[in-house]
Amino acid sequence: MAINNHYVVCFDFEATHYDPNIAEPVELAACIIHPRRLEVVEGSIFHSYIRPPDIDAVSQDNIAFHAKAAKCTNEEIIQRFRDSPTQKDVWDKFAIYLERYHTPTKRKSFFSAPIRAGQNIINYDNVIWQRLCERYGYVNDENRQNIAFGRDNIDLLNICFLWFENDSDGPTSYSADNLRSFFKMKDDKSHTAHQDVLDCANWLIRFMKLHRTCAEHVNFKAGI
Amino acid sequence: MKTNYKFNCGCTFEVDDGCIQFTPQWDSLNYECKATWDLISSGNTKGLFQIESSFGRQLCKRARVDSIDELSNLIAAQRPGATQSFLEDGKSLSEHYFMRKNGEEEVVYLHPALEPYLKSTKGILIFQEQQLDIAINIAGFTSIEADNLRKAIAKKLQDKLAQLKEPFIEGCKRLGKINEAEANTIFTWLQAAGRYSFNSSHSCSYAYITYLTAYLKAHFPPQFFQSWLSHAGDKPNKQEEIQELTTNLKQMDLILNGPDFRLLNHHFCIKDKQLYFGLADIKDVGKASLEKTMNATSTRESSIGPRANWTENDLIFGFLPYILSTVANNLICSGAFDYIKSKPTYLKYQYENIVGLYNTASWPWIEGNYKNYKTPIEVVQNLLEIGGLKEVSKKKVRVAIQSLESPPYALEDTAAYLAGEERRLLGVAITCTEIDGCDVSSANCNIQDFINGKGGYILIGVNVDNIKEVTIKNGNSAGKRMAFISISDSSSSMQDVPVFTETWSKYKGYLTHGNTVMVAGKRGRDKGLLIEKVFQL
Repeated sequence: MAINNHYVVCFDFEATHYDPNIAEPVELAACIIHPRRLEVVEGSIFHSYIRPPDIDAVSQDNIAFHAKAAKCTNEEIIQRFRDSPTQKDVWDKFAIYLERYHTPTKRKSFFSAPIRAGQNIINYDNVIWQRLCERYGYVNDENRQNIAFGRDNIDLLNICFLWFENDSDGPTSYSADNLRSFFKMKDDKSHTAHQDVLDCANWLIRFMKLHRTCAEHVNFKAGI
Repeated sequence: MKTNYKFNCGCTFEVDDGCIQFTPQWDSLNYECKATWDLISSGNTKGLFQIESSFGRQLCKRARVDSIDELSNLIAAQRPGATQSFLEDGKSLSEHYFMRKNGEEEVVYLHPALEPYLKSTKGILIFQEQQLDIAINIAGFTSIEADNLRKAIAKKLQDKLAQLKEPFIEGCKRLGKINEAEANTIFTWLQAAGRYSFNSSHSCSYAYITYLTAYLKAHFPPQFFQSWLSHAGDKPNKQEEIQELTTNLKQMDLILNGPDFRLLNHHFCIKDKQLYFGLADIKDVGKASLEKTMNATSTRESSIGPRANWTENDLIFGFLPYILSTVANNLICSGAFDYIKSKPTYLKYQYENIVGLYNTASWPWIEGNYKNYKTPIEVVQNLLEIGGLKEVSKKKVRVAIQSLESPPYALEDTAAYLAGEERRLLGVAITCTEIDGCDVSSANCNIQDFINGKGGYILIGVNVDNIKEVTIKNGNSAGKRMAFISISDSSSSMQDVPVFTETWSKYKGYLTHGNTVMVAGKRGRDKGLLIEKVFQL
């Protein structure tokens, strides 16, 4: 396998429901990890609130959840929803933002786009991502999203499982809150997409460095 | 009024209406121009006919030719036949020729009788015409017989050669310049030489054309590069060609600028002795779309004034909405509007958020009033004040205001972004390179310093532009992998820098396309860069 030259986009949605098939995003944050330096690229943070298509359909529980995370009142959250840019507007801008971080290439495409990464993205955020791409025309002929690299996804959940599954002293669960406490990180801004995504990027960088160091000393034999 | 202009080399040209008049004519060309021969001998041969490859450049530096005959010899000696014909000492015919030319090896002849025919090529049989001379003067062949012998050798016609061998030896005996044994040796030698010998008239014609291209490069470098850059697309790898030409022109103290919309030139042009990309040289700006852009420009200029005086507002409200969005984006990202002093990233962002208002109910007000405001955001902010807008239009305006007031990401012109966009759209990074965004304070020189002769331990921060990984076929390292990389910084670039097996296996993780690294090493035996260590930047 060739050495990875793709940027990694670490992203996180805050949404209106725990079921990704019906959840509408209300906040999107992302940052970019440089594939060789393994650090967050300076000035690469994307952050935007998003107006849900139907504000009245958002449950009171969900509003209360966001209000708690943002340390404000439910009314303020509803007002924030109203004042936020539309989904289409944010998604268009996000697509342009991602274009800035393609691998050096003559023609930007699906294959030069950044690799998606995040906490629990495969089961949650990627589902919303795909839906937004379908909704706003960022899909290829096979109706698959085409603004991020198609093959790979890096889900911190899977990495944590592989690393801690035989460690009784490891985190008790792989939720962001638990990991934050396990890694002794501040949690005063948790559940804001902006902070979650930076935390996630830093965990990912730690694991990627660790994997690279380990990989240098391991040679797989044919058939393992 | 006609005057004359004399170059330092002594070449004089007529100047008419401020322009040097030059029409290449074989008869009147100065074949003793020192500047031209110096240019060839310095190895600055990029773009010169027949000798522009890196091998040709090396040979030119080595051979230091100063006449058409010598140039003709060089062109023949650098051909694969001569470079791949090895003598018993393991050196090629070309190698022997250049060593003898530089006095590093004694000029010897297979037989003293051959000296008159091989003197010009230092005892090495390079040309087919030399075979003919030997057959006529040593073996007494007629011109037709000699040509038959040449054909038989060149086409390896064994039957014909067997038929001609006897008359050749008999002829030599008859003329008495050499004995029978020597005649046998010379015949075998002529046969072997047929594998590489080249047609002298052909080589000589090449030499004249080579000289003419060198003459043009030595006297009219901006025009020379303008022409070459305009035809870069004819080469198999346009991007690599533009990169090489850009490096070369920088070494000749010329300046290549990105496209400038004020010039409105289709292709590469020269202004004030500086070269400029043309608008059609930008990727995805085709002939038809450029034609539309030209028409829109003249129409818009009549209502908003000359393009050289356009402000950011004129551009965003008065011009860009009237051209294709792909063209608008590519013009912005390639730096065609840099003269407006607006950051490309920010300009593009503003354009993308405002173009949505084009053809809406608010557009007539915008067109009539935008000149009263300093910035695009001020114009859009004042839109909500005007009456009569429907809710749909108001929504669009609110979205635009929100986007302009609080962009979701930093609209910075990072070096990596600008260089990447220039490489994508123009084929070469001009205003900066990716390395400009990195901390290179630990470097002790740049690429140009190294090219200029900096010695000792070298530390250079570079961008890796290209990698060619190869498997070594011969020698102790046969089967191992090594690579040749192209690197650049804002001062210059270097092509085909070797990364030998050990260094390659250790650092190939860093030497990836587009990565910025610090390379450490020294000058190798061939004066090139010998990379020993690589660090991530």
